[in-house]
Amino acid sequence: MLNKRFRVLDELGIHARPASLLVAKAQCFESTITVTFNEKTKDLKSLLGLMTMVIKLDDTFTISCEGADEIVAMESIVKLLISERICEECQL
Amino acid sequence: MKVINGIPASGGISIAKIFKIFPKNLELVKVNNCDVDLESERLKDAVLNAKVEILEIVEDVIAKAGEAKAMIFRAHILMLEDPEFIGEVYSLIESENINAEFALDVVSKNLIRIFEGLDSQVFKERAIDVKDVSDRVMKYLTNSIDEGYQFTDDVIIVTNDLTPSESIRMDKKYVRGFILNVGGKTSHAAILARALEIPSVVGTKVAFDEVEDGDLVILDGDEGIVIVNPNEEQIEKYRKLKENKKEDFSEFFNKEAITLDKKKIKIYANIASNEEMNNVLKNGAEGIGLFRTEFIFMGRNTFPSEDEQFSIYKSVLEAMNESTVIIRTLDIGGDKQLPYLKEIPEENPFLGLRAIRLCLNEVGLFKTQLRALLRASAFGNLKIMFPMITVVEEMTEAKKVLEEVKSELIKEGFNLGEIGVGIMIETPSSVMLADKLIKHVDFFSIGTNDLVQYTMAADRMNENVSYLYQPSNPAILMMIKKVIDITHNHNKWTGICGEIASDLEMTPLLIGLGVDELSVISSSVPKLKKRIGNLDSKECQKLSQQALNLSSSNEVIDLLKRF
Repeated sequence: MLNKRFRVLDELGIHARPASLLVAKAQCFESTITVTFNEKTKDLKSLLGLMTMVIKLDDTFTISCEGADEIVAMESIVKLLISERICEECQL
Repeated sequence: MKVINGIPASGGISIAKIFKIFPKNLELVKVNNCDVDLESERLKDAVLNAKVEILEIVEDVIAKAGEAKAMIFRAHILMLEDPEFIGEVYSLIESENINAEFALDVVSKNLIRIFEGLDSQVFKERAIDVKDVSDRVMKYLTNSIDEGYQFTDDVIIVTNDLTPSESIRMDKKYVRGFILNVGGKTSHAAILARALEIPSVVGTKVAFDEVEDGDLVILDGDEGIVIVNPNEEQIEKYRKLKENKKEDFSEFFNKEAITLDKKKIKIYANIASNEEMNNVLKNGAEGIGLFRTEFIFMGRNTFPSEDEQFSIYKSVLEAMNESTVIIRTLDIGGDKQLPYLKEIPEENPFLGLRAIRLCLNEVGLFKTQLRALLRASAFGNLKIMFPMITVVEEMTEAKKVLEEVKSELIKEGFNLGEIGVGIMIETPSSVMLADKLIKHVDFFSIGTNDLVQYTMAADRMNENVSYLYQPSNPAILMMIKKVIDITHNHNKWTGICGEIASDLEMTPLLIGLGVDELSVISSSVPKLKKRIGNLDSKECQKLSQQALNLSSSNEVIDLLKRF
């Protein structure tokens, strides 16, 4: 299983747009992908699950990938978050 | 045969069959012991159909407004695939053996509650998206027709009440009249009906229960009478009446409104949509005195984008060539609500967060509209008008935002035109502060509907106190006089865009008080020009002096009748 931690750079937090991008990306992979924030863990393939966590600017959260394609999945997610300036990576 | 009485809300006579619109509250029935496979299959079909429909919308939006604007619909598609949404509906069908409709309703209501309870505005607002997606799936589950109504023949609509968004979705080609159980002369359905020249009778209390689909009725919007299943004689009588009513005003289309002693009054048109421009031009309005932009924001599920607004404003400015176009910024709140704007329950919405108050509170929304307006200013003669100013600070604050937006746009390289700025005078405090407010603006426009309501402290929709809605009360006339005098002292001008501007009995009084511009629905423009052409402004002045000395609305009405 791979884990990475991120800090939100988007002013509005993980609102509809970045959340949609993230969920659409997660859905491309077989691996189980989850997001952990505020001691709660949700399926990253669920837009409503992600949005109801209300992750705001400067919050930090963890993404975990587990499965056959976990390496590619994590790479793509990191690439998306950085290139769209949604998040920056930070120490676990 | 039956006669139903109501309030005449929009003039004219129509004879057509009834089309009843029932309240849309879907009665959802819970069915137990369902065939789980069958219900799941039905849900699957409905979701698939909803997805195809959204994909078509996405393509349409991308083509018209670009990729970024389509994002929210992509989110809707993700919701259709969401394990916590549609996934939950499947689980509920399986665990409870219930019908798909009921399961969908339970899950979506639950989600909407969760979203509405979130502690962030941005996230809270997504409740409307859950509702939108759920409604779309429900539509396919229940095989119900879309919100718009399709007609193939002339109809007269009868219903309990009509929201502004419902009425703008109506197919104007076939709708010959509105009959409503509730409402008054100045309810928004009535205002809209007059703008569209659709005869209407409102406040009938009983019409919805007393007429049936397909009944033939005569609707007399001038007298406020509905005759259900009339006999031949009556039909003939009203046909003749209708013919005679078509007085020809065409010679006034291209004339100016000038009194016998050569005083010119500007006659502008009130509009709620750019679709009215043909009517405006045909009737010879010399400008737009009030563009109620809130109708652009109604009847939809999301905010209109800057580009969308820009193209609407631009089309109006271009249609009017170099003539004045006064566009009022969003006047929402009170009895006009937007489904996608958070609704804060208020004890007194008319004394609450509405119009400029709401715009200064939701600056993002306000700025988007101002950006669209300023960008459009390059295409004509634009004046921006702020609604419901009560204190000077609102004025200065609104102008500050306007200046900010202006310098942003200039930095971005947009070409902007010259603009004028004005305010609506519709609260007693703005009247009392008029000499302070005038220093910040180019003109005033008196919104008499609200000014009367706020001054008389009487709800125009409340039948028990609507008798106090007295536009001709000397109290109101004195206010109008004060406002006009102040603008003239500063070499500026005052217009009137409320209902009384089109009341031909009031015209001599308004001219006498010194009004510079009257803004009315376009169909009234030629009539008003004709009326003014028969008046002498000196006589009008004497009349208004007398009226100001009277002590009641009834006395003023008597005086006008004798004039």
